Parts: sequence; C-alpha cells; structure tokens
Amino acid sequence: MSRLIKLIYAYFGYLSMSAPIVNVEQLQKVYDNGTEALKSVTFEVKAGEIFGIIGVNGAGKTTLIRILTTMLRPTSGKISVMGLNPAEEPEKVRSMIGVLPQETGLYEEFTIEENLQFIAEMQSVPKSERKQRIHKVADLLGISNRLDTRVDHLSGGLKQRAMIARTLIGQPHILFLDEPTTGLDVLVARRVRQIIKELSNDMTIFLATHNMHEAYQLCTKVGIIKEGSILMIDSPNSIMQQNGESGDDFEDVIAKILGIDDPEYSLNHLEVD
Amino acid sequence: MEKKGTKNAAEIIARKELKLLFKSKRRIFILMIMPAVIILISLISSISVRNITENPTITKIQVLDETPSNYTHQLIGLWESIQNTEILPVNGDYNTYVSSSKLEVFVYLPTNFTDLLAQKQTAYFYIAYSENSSTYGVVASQIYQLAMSYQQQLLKSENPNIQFDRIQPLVQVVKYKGSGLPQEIASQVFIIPVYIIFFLVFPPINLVLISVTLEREQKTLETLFLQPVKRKSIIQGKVLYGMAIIGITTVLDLIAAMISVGGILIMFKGNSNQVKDFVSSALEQIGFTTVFAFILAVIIIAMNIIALSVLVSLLAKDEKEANMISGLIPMILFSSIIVVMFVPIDSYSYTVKLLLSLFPVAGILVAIYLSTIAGHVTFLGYLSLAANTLWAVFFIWITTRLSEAESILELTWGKAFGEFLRAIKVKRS
Repeated sequence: MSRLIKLIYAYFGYLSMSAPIVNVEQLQKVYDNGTEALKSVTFEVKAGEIFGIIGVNGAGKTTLIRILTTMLRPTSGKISVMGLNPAEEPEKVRSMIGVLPQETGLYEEFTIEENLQFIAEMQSVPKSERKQRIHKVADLLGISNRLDTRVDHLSGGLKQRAMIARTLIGQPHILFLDEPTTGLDVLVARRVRQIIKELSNDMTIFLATHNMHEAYQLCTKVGIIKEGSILMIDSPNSIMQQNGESGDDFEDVIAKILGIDDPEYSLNHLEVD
Repeated sequence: MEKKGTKNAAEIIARKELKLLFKSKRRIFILMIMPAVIILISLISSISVRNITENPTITKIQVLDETPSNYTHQLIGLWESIQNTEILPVNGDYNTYVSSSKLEVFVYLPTNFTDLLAQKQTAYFYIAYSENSSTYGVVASQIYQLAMSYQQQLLKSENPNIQFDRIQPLVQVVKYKGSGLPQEIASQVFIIPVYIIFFLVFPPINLVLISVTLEREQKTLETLFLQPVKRKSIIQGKVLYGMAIIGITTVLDLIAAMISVGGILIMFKGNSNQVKDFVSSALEQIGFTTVFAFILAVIIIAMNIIALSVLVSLLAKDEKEANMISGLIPMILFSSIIVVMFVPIDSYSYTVKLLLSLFPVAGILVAIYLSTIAGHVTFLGYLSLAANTLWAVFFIWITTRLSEAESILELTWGKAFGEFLRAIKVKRS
C-alpha cells in the first residue's frame, strides 16, 4: 500500500511540481519541561524543492525535523509528509524518507559496505539489488574505493559522505538534512554541498542549517525560524531583494531579520547556548 | 512496498549484533572468559583432589578396650591393616568419646566382650563414627567387615557347627552437633545450580548492555529508530541477541565442561570408572523432572536478566554508566545467592517462603534452594517459574513501551518512570 502511495506522490508531485510533499499547519511543540519549541508553525514544501529552514542554534530547527521524521510527536497542529501523518503512520513515513541527523550514526567497527548492507536490509532492499544499490550510491558520493574501510578509520568528510550514502540506500523521495556541513572543513563542506545539489535533481530536500551562505547557495526556498516561530518564507533572492541594502550579503540580511545584528541579542543568545 | 515485519527486523538486528560482537576483541574476551574460568577451576580442583588422593588424610580410630585379651589384640591387629588409618588406644568412658566434637571413628570393646567370646556366646562391641566426613563411614564399614571375617576365623578354628553370631558389632552414627544441618548441606549443594546460572547469565548481561549503550554513543540508536520498522522490533532484536549469546555461552561452557571432564579422566586414569559411576549415580539421583525444571529456570532467569539489561541500558547515558549497571546486576544476583545460602529460609513460615519465591530472579534461587532441601521440585518451585515468566513478559513489555517514548534518545530514570505511569494509564483507559 505504501509503495502505491509513494508512486502516486512521486508521479504527481514530480510532474506538477506543485503538490506539497510536506505540509505543516499550526504546528506547536511543547516539551514536558514546559519549553515551547515550536509556536504555530505553518509552511509547505513542494516536490523537487530544496527547502531550507534557517535560524540560530536553539531556534527549533532540529525539533521541526524530528517531528517531520517521526522522532517526536507534535503537541498540536496538522502535519503530513507524502500525504501521511508521521505521528499516526510512522513506519510508512520512514519508508519514504531519508534522514541525515546532526551527528554520525554509523557502526564504527563495520566497514562502510557493512553499514550500507545493514541499512539496505532494514529498508527491505531485495537481496539481489543490494550490491548494485550500494555501489551506485558509493559511486555517487565518491566512496567506492573506501567501501571496505572500517568507519573508525575514516576522516570526518568520508564519514559524512558515508552517512549520506546510508540515507540514500532506501531511495527516499524526500531527504531531511540536519546541518550536514557542521564540523566539516571548507573543502569537504563544499563537496557535500555539491552532492546535495546533485541529489536535488532526483528528490525533495529539507535542509536545516545555521550556515546562511549554504542556504543561499542551495535552497530554492527558505523559512526563517526564530524562537520556534517562522518569521518569513520565500526564495533567498526575494528575501535579499525585499530586505537587503546595498553591500549586504545574505547573512547580513538574515541577521537583520532575526535581530541578531543587535549585539545585546547576540550576547544573550551566546549565554543561552 | 510492505516493510519488514517485526520478527524479521528483530532477526536482522540480532544478526548485526552478533557480527559486531565478533569484530571486537574485548567482547570476544567477555564471551570466552567464563569457559576459561570453568577449565581453570576444574584444573585447579582436579590437581587438589589428586594431591589429596596421593597424600590422604589419616583417619583416627580410637579404641576403648576395657579388657585386653588375645581376642581383642587379634581384632585390633586386623583393623590396623585398614589403609590411611591410625589406631589410638584410649581409656575412659564411652559417652565421653561419642559426645566429643573431635570424634572421627570410635570402637568400644566392653568388659564382657572377651568373657562372652571365651564362653562361646555372642559378644557385642560398638562402632561410632561422625557424619562429618564420608571417609569415617567407609572406615567404620571396613571395621565391621574385618570383625565379620574374624568371626569366620573363630568359627572355623573352634566349631564349624555353631550357627549363631559370635561377634555382633553395633553401629552408631554420630550426627553433627549443631542445629540445621540439612539447611547447611543444602546451602553447599545450592551453589552448584547457582554457579551454572551465574556463568550462563553474566556474559549476556554485559554484552547486551554494551550493545545498547554503544548504539547510544555512536548515535546509531537514532539511525535504528529512523528505519521503517516498529520500535518494538528493535527491542526484540536486542532480546533475541541476548538469547543468542546465552546459546553461544551454553555451547562454549559445555565444551569447557567436556574439556574439564576429559582432563579429570586423564588425571584419574586408574579410577575413571569411579568418576563415571559418580556422575551417573548423581544424575540418577537428581532425576529427569528436576533437570527439566532447572533448564526451564535457567531459560526464565536468562529472559529476565536480558529484558532487565535492555531496560536499564536504555536508561544508561553512556558506556561508563552501563558498565556501572552491568556490575550492579551480578552484584544483586550475588547478594541474593549469599542471602539464600546463609539465611535459614526453610525455617520461615510458608507465606514468607511463598512471597520470596515470587521475586524476580532471586525468587527462582529461593525455589532452587527449597527444592534442594526437599529433594524434589516443590510447588513453590513451579510457582516461582510461573511468576518469573510473568516478570520476564512484564520487563519486555515495559521496555517496549519505553522504546515508544518520544524521549527515548534522552531517556532518564525520571522520564522512564513518567512513561511507565503513562503506559499504565493507557492500558487502563
């Protein structure tokens, strides 16, 4: 059944580029300790988009990704991913998405291939296709020659590429990336961005980042989030045109919108962090 | 595309765990340590037993001969031939020796013994031995046998037609003076099944705890929870892995036991039949039902321990905390063993014994102890097995419930308690 839904969404979504792959209405999340992480968040992501959610640390980006990827339950509001409610049908939603969490989630004592093999099994990739699928994603990410290297012997950049390979094994229709270049050196981060751009040809990407240049470079649309509320949703160029002054780069514009160009806010924010 | 069923996903996770297990030298070491200890212990005890056989303890035979004569000298002369014994002639009162705590074997030849023999009447003498060692009983029976063969000599030399007994030994077994001996013996015997249980469950506790906390440390637990499978299948996978380790441990321990038995047989080449006889008579005495109930007890204890390990490992923040807990669980088990061994549980009321038998894990130890005293599997034993099966189901249920909690990746004891209360409320509603 889920395969059918997947196919229908993929077909109509990709053709029309208009059907929302992710739909969020009045989403609210309050943690047990009373912290309101998300306040009435509303937005939608259409097929083929790279939707960036940008904000400072603690703004609610990760909470939002966790709700959309079934890891957290919303307190109130409506959400749908590929037409399904993640809170009600988590397994079906998980079968259609790929998630790259903030931190590495690979078995250190396994080789890259063993890690991919395990995930392929969990994702029900038929045995006859597994090898071929692993080599395909490894080629795409340029790690074919490192498939039999143990993860604990890999550099940070290779680990991140192996992580992306892991998220692609199940051939997801939407990819959730939570700060994919954090902690990577400039060259590796640049390569990862290239890969994300290439992947966007085949799938919808939901990107959470606090790197404004990355959002400007990659995203077709961005949502700016501050203290759990979406302040603005538009394409990076429109945001620049509507809010920027001459000489401002994207980071300056976003800083103005978020109010983090005010030194007092930055100081308080750092203290909170 | 219908995704993996719970059972299938659990199998994949269990297989992955086993693969990871054999990639880590440290975890292989944990798995091999118990069989190695079995071989080492049996080697040391075999060498000790061999030394005892080669340098046997001398049993003291105290002989109170009130009227020494040719008859008594001849008889004592025969007893002197008993191996590993020493004849100690003594004077005084029969009761003094029999009531002494230092009694080993005591023979009393009364005043009229010689007279009655001389008058060709039945003469009585007394053998008393302490129950403290089985050797004393063996020596006492040799004294008896030699007295009988002396009687045959007398009859042959005097009058072959006499049909009645010329010598009649009266044997007295002197019991251990303290109270509650059966319980003490039970405490000693009790250590054998407990030893087996301990060896079987220790490696799984450790390895299951490590497996969950490593997932946490390497952030792969989140990866697992993001797979299109039910969360309970992940917990079931871990439990299945724990059961697989128990299987592997059992096989390794059996191999170690076989190596040990082989070693003992080689060491006692001349007496291999005695070893075989001992083993077969021990098995015969224990009985099929007891063996079956014991195997069941081991499986149920294993299930409880593994479910508990998965439960607490979900609560452990890191490997350090998991190691602390993995040390704590055997400590609880060990403390229960000590309590059962040294507290005279059998003297308690039936209600107390019943309540103790219902405890998770420790209850089965109490039941094994009480069954050891009874000599068969008691009703409380079966009740304890049933109760512990329910405990295992409860632990697996609560662990599965916790895995459904949204705070699973940052679970704390407080949050776990909250989830537990929520689970109960959901069940009620």
